[in-house]
Amino acid sequence: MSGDETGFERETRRSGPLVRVTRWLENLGETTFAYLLLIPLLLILSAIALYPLLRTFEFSLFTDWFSQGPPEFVGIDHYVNLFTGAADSQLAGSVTFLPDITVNGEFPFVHAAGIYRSALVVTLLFAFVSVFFETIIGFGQALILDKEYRGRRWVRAAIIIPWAIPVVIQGIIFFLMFHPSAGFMTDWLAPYGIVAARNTLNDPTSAFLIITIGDIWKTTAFMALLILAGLQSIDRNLYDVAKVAGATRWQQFRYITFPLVLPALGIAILFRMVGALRVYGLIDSVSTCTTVPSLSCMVVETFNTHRGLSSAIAFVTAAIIAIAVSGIIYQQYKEGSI
Amino acid sequence: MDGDKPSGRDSVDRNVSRRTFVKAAGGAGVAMGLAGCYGDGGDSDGTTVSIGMGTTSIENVKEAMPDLLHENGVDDDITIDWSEQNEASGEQRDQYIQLLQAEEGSPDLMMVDNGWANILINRGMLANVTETLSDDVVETIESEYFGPFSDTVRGQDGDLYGVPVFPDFATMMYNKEYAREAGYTDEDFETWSTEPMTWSEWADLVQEITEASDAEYGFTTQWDIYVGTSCCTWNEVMTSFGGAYFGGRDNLFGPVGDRPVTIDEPEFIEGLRMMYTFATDEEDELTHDDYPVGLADPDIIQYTENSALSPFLQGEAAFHRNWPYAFIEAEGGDYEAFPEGEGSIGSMPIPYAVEQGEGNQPGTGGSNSAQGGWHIALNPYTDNTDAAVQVMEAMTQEDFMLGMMEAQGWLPPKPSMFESEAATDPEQVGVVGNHMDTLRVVGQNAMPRPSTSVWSTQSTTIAEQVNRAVAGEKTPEAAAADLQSAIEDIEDSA
Repeated sequence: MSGDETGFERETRRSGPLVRVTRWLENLGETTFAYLLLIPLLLILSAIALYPLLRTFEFSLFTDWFSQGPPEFVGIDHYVNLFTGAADSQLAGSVTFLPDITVNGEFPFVHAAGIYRSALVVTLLFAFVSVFFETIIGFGQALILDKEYRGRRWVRAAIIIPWAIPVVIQGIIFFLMFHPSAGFMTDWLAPYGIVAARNTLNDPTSAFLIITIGDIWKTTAFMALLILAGLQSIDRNLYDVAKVAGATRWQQFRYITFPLVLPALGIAILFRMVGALRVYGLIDSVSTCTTVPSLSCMVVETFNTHRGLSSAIAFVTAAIIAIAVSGIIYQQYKEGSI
Repeated sequence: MDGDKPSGRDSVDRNVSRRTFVKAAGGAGVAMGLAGCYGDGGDSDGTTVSIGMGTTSIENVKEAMPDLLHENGVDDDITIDWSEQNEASGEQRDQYIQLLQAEEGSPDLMMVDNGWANILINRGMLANVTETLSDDVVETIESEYFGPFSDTVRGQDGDLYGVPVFPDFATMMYNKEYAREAGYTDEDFETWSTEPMTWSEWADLVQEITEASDAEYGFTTQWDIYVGTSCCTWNEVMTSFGGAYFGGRDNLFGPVGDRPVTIDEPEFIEGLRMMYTFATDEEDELTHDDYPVGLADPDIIQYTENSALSPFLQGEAAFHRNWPYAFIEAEGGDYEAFPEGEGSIGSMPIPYAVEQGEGNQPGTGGSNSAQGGWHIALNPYTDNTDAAVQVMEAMTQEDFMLGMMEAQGWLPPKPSMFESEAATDPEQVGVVGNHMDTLRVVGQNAMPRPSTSVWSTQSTTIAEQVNRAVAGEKTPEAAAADLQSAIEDIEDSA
């Protein structure tokens, strides 16, 4: 009797649905199993990223989805208006989407005016300038942090502190440094022509410079940490071999450090580029979206007045980020980093 | 396939078997599911009424207002709660729009700026309070309140969509001690309090007082790139020169696209030129011959209300344009320049350039103040309508108004109260009571701000151009021409 029961239980364990699923899992190949584990993540990402993006695109095809009455379908009018300048009057202040471009016989033949009024140019300029300097300085910081020396932990903390400060607090710090009531930086820098002596935070060039420096100050630490992770994964024996072979410090950097840290560097640039192309908080807390217009600024500024246009700008911003990310990933793929 | 073969490292590192992983993931999923099922978004108490308001405003009123409401008819079992909103008026409007579009029932009541209340009303986002409040209360508002102020919370059907709580009128404030140092007396102060001066007379007076006192600057005001400049400070100067954005007072609320844009006009340019002259250090081809240069703090182009108030409170500026809250701030005992209880801050109507009615645009000219102020509106999705209505009705009681006047400088929305003994007695209502004569005159000449669906876009454009003109970054003529074109584009695109 009992022997029969035991046999039945064993049979059940061997043939129940859970057993079948487990066996199926055990027999999966590594790659297939990896993809299986990724499915929940992909589903979540689809829900929180892809779906909103597609809905944003849908909203951009209508006048104002949320206004009273049914939304009016306008097709790609908002995109056409953005790129032809017809939508410029709906952006904040004198902001335009594209700069004024003229082509004539004078060198360099293509002339752009009002670049600091163009949300597209300001966004791209900010992203490239800030990420460039953050990469250079971050690399330098990472090299310093990678060395063994007394007090390294304090240096590391000092470098990380700016990154830990919330963006609005950081924005207020820079705002106050240049505000006429409380600031001192304008008096120091204006005599050298670095910033405008009056109306500093409302001056497009000065405000752009201040915000870019603010971003570099804050986010360089992020770059440094990611690059440091790459540096610390380099096998130290390679340097010993290089020393024995008579390689100079520069040659060690050129032929060992740089190629091996490149994958981490690419990832760091990728993350920062995505963040920089979405800049908003720092602009809003230091100056205004009218003075330093970024694409995200324009999304926020038009969100409650022209929601269809706002959605179109958001979608264009996402497309620009996608292009930038694809470029970086393709570059890494070509170099065999991924 | 290589990828399917377990590598040596994988074999060593895989401390968790797939079987264990499936069990763990299943357990975690069940746990999270249960947490989700049992999670509660919070239970609302039916006797709590939440009021949406800017964070700083809440800090200022949270001590006095609940007691005043209960003393004026709100049941004791109704608790007043606060819903913190962005302090910036425009941001607050956007937050409400998003809350109401999502049909959120909280906050039950919302403080709405008279400058954008009609945007929410036209979108059908606020409850009709003419139908909700008792007939007596509606009758009181209709017959005893400032009519133009109440109109800013009225729908196209003529009904009210909020209860006017307090109007705000800007005045030109000054430091009496500095004026005394220049030889002026209480008799002069009394005259100034109700008889507006021309800009030219005022500028001479400011220059004289500044030179005779320790003041570093003649005056401060707000002129940053933000709505406060376009709705209020520049609107006041422009109107006093006989100018208007949209062809006069009648077109302030529309029709958008069908009204004239009257910006590139001589009176507009004259006003800008005067402000440039005040804010610049030396005479040049742009300065106005009728006015002295260097009268204002040159940093006004980066000042909002509070940053403009600061130099005045510190005794650095002799004159300052602001709303009544500044009286309380100044005489709160925190500033040496304004000792508590000595009535050392004076007020006068905003100066003017052309006589009232003689402006080029209809209904302009003369001393005027931008119409400020706030209403309280009912959330149509609230579950606490009865309690919320009690709160709104309590706010129409005169004792509530006097209490808030003392606590926060909120002016009563009833013109008759401006002359009442209670509202003019500083002992009873605090320092604002000293300025009721001026505020009464200013209230009679209040200029509503343009309030349409495109105003938020237009206001930024206007503020940017007038800021650049006063900063000397472009000529008043160029600013007016560019602005004319930009505002026409916005009108046409609406």
